[in-house]
Amino acid sequence: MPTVTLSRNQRALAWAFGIMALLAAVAVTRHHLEMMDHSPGGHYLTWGHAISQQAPDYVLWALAIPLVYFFVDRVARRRWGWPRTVLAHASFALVVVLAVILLRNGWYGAKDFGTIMMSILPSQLFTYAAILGGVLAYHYSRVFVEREVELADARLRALRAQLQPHFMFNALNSVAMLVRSGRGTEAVDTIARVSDLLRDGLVDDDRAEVTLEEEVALARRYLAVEEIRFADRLEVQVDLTEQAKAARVPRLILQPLVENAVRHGISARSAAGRVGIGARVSGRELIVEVSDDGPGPAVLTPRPNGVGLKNTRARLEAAYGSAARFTLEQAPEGGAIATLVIPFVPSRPKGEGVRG
Amino acid sequence: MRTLRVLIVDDEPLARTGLSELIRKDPELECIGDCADGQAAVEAIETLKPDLVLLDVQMPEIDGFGVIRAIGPEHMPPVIFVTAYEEFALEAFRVHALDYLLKPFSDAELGAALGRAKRLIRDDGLHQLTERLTELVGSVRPESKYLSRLTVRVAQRVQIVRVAEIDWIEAADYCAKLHVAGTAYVVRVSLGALERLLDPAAFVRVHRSAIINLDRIREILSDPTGDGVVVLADGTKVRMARSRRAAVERVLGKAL
Repeated sequence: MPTVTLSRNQRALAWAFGIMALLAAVAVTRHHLEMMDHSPGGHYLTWGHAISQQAPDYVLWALAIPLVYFFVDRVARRRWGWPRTVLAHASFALVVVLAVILLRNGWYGAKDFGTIMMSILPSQLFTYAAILGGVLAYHYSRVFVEREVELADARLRALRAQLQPHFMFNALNSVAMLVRSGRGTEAVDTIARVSDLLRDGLVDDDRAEVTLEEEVALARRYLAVEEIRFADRLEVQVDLTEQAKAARVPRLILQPLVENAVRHGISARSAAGRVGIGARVSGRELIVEVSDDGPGPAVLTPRPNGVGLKNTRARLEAAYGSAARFTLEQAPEGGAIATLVIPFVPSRPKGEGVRG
Repeated sequence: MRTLRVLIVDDEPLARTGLSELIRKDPELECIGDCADGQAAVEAIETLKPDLVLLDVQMPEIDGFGVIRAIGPEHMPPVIFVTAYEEFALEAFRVHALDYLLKPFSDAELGAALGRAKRLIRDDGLHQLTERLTELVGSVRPESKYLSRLTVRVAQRVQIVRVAEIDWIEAADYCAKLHVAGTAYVVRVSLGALERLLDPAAFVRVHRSAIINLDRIREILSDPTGDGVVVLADGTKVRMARSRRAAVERVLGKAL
């Protein structure tokens, strides 16, 4: 038996059409039976007539489903406030319903149209509401699953970066060298910092969002180990406003940016380097910048705009749609600067983590 | 028996101090210096002529293989590669039977590697080593990145010179003189080594003692003998040898 593989969207659409077909069948049957009851001969309404009277409605509505889904998806990506979202949905509902009524009944002049509208508008709006409900339920279940998958992916990647053989062996080598030089306290410090980092990676934390402060603390633990490795070659500067610290951000969104800054800004050159993390709130947006003073993306031509950064873009797109922006540019004073702009959502006071 | 003079090359300060302390414990060895990057390593190998180099593989700008390429395998002293982890490098060392140490290493592992190096140098097995290094350098595809900056010492300061800003380079004894917008800086790297570190699509050697930046060429004057003169954008005239003409034509993509 040949198997047909469908995408998730196609499968959902097939289900929706199936349900519409079932509803149509029920309506046609009911109509047919009702008419039989009311006509003495029992043959007043044939099946064909019943179908031709009832089915077009369902076909039209079935065709509207993908349209409604597309609209819901678009509106959700815009991340508008409540009033604007409701207004958009109301306008779209009216347009679709009018279109369905016109397609179904044709145009017989304004007077007739008014009568038709009055009699069937409420039932058609109700149908639209039912379809919208189904589409919304499907949409949000999908968004939820997508975010879960992306978060799991980010966690795995962060863990892999922390357990990256090169990083780990170099950190262990630092410990070995510190022990050999009799610098026991520093050796123990290094072990503690590496352990912190491992714990961060291994701890079972399923939150999708954390405060920026927590996110920066994690990045600092990573940088702390690199600081030991590069000693005089790495300088870390963190500059966050109080308001920015409390902002909700996707978990592990900073890690790849910081790694990138160290890899290209510090490891790629021999003079001392600086990694800066800065964040501020501007209007309704949170602006986060991760900078380094390395050769910059323009100079180091094959700067692998790599997997890490591509994933950053994908995660932001999934979480905020077009409301988020991400750029990697040459900084005016040299080096590279990665800028992340996302809607500012303050976490509840006392900075306790936000359940995702 | 004379002591072996050892050079340490590693971009991490802790690794350098740790290694030099270990070397110091061995009376047969003498640590003559440590370098934090590839350029410094090339300078030190050319000027100090060490008997043995402990060479980190991953370094900024010029990595361990780049150092060997710049010096030339035939002039390279015996090497013990030191690396944290790089499957590719490990495979290359194994294939060419070169000695390497994995970070972190125990005192015993370092001792064993140093022991093998001493035997090799004493038994004069350097000839085989040169062959293996040549094979290694040939098997490692050159990193796409070429040198992008050079560090130069000016009085007490260390200054960074962007390679793209260099107009031309002149040989000066065993050093090279970089001409950058009217100022000359001396680096203690031979012109030959420098040539191998620069992007061949951007710099060309026009003479035994001169490399020019292709972007700076204004005109090329040639005389019937085949020798010629390259005039740079700032009016500087650099002699072009007949023997280098073909190379210049190749990078310019046209006959002169």
